[in-house]
Amino acid sequence: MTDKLWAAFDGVRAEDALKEKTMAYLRGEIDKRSKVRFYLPAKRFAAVFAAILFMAVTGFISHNLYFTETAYIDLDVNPSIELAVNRFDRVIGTYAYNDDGSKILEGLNLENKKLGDAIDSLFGGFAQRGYMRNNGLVSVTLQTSENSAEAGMLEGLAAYVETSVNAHHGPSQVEVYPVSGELRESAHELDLSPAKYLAIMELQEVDSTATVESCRDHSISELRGYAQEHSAGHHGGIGEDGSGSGGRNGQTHHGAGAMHG
Amino acid sequence: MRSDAEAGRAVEQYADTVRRVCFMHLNNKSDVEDVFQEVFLKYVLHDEQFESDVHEKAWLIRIAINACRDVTRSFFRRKVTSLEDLPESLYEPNTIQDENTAVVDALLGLPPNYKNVLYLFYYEGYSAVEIAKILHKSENTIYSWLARGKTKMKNLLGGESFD
Repeated sequence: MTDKLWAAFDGVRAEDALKEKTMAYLRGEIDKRSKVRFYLPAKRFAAVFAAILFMAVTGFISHNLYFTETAYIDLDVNPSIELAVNRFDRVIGTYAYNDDGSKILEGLNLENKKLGDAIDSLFGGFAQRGYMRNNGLVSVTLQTSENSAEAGMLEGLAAYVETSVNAHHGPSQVEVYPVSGELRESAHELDLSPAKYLAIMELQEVDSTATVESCRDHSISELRGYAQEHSAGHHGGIGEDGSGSGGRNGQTHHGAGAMHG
Repeated sequence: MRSDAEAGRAVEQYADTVRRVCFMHLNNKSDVEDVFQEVFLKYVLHDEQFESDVHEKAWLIRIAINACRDVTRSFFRRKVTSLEDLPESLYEPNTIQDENTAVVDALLGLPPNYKNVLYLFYYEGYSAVEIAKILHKSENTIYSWLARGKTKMKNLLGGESFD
């Protein structure tokens, strides 16, 4: 009998297509994790340098100051994108967490744009590609080392986001909130935006079998929905009206929110 | 983080082993692909050196078993299984000979813990002590699962002794 078992399992082999697909996936992951996150395309450098030289001559700014990232803004509509911003509210770097985000960024030229213009361009891109669904959720996080300026930056960011979402007929659920540097780092280790990282962590609190890889391609509103359903299901009668204890305090709101992380 | 070359070597060397673990627990191609990628990604990201090939293989088996368990128990997975992931035949064409299907069917019908220990004991050739280390269980638990697994197999196979 064990001979039959042995013979049966001996016939089970990994398909060549499965191995090839796995290797392609692993190469992509190794490459992604080895890349420098932010870069300035060489062809833009001449224009940027001229701008920096001008600002240095006017005594207004130094080269180092311009290229210093003072804030990171992550937008999750399900394209998931991060903007690095300097103290002059100029975008000095962009990063896409997923393929949808890459496609959006490919069509845009955001480097050196004012933050408000960059956000408007992004939401225009989201709308053009059909990501601005009425029943969707827009999650935007801000992480800055400039603690004293955070409240003002958050208010300004929320205003930019609301204006752009309204202009492009986006969803009514918009959230903008600050996150800590630690949380952003933890999210980046998993190649996730902070908002998606938080949504996955919250789902894992009620479903420990949810993995980052299985969750990563789902929208934040989907992940929160699953978390709420799972909580309601586990608590029997609680939540019969659809309410539950899952999600991030059950809040979605316009404007600035409480610090996370 | 391990290199492309190390990843390629591991996939070539252990793909069949990981595939067999998936074969025991999963019944659709997309889950197999997901678990496969997850297992070898964890291998790539695992920085510690393995003491030997034996140690390396045992580590991969444990990761694969855990990954399959996560898939089959996940509320999230149950909610999002695509309609396109229709249950497919457990067997690739010509993989399992007809005379062996009864045994394989019986094994695949066992609870996961019994399946794992019977597979590791009878196919991979691990001792109960080694299986205990792989699965992070006590030796007594492994002996118990082996005994109960064999009894269940015997019952499923119409009284025919399993070993």
